[in-house]
Amino acid sequence: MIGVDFREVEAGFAAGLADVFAGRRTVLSAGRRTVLSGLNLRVAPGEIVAMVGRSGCGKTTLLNLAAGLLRPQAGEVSFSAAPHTGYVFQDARLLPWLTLEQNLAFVAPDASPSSVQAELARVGLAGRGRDYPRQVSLGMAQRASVARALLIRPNLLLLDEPFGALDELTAAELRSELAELLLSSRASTLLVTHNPAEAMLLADRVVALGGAPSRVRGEVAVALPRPRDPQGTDLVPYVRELRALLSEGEA
Amino acid sequence: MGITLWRVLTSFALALTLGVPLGWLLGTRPWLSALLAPWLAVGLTLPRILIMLVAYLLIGLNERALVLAITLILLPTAAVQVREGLHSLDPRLSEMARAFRVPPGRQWRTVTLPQLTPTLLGTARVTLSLAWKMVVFGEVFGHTSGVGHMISFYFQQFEMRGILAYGLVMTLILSGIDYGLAALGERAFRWRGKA
Repeated sequence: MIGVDFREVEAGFAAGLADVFAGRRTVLSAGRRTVLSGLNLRVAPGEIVAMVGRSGCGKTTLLNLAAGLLRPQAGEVSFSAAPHTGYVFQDARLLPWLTLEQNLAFVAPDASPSSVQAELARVGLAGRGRDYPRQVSLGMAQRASVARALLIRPNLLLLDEPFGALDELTAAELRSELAELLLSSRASTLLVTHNPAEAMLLADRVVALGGAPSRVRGEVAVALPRPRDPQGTDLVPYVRELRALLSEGEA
Repeated sequence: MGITLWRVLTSFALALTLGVPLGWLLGTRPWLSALLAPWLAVGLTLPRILIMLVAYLLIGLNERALVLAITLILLPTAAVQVREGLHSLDPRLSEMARAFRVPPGRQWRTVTLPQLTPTLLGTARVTLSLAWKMVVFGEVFGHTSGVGHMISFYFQQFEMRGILAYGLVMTLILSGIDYGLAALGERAFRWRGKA
């Protein structure tokens, strides 16, 4: 397990510097669009932290900082141990010319075929390993993307609106499955979502981001036993508290 | 026939050997692309006959002049095609690979190269067809050997059969090579047909 510490982080992106080539990092320069400023956030080892905020408030930027895809313009992102990062993107980002099995093996070349199969089975894709991404539904592709992230046995798991592209029925099904997978993986987890109920269902702590540039507006510790009922009324007070935090400063 | 084929394949190979890395540099280094953009535009629009005539005048009516001229004619086309192919790479896939700390060599082989394959095959096919036409053209008025020279010879004899025979045989050989490249492409994109 691993702890992550964001200290006084300022970050953003430079439009037009899309980084498409392997091994290069986007260079962030001061004066470009800054989306996060003076951000402090600590994730304890094994903790599941959800970040909620409006579109464009820098949630994905925060994940990219944790993944090492971006470097902060100011401040520091530090880890208590060497990060071994699994990343689930909003879109599955499977390589279309590889089968699902090959997509998993791409990020974990040392994994045995049986462990790849087992990971696929764990997300409900038993027997679909030889399918190409075009042959499966969006929900299945996203399951494969979750399996890919879990296969490397990450100590840091980053989830960027993992159900954002799915219909609500599929999303609800996957949410419940992911809740179980997160508990069993024991990885420190950063989840980005704009769905407060989803955050309460999955996270130990929910952080509200807002402002321009964004800062932490407050946080809600979710003191509910697991597994949590997505339809349960016990989530409601937490969701209300979070909504109040999010609307603060916008009035 | 053999000498023409040798000229076509040599200038084709030289144009790709120089054009692909040049296109890569242009696609990955915006400053270089900006610096060379006017020269590429000149290279693409300059009449091909002009390049050939200047090469013959400077170097002489020999193999080197013809191969150099054809290579220079093909180079901008190959470089621009590769540059445009690089611009169409999906940055999200490379971001995914970097997030999982996949080593650069494997990223290149598994993420970048499969995306570039259509561009590389397309460039090869366009360059080959252009090379063959330009070599025959160059042979017509600058050489005493090759298919172009023979076509010119039969033209002076008003012998249509000779012109068509040389033209058709060469077309068949080059079409065979082009078919091979197309088959290679189909094999590389088998995954597209699996849906």
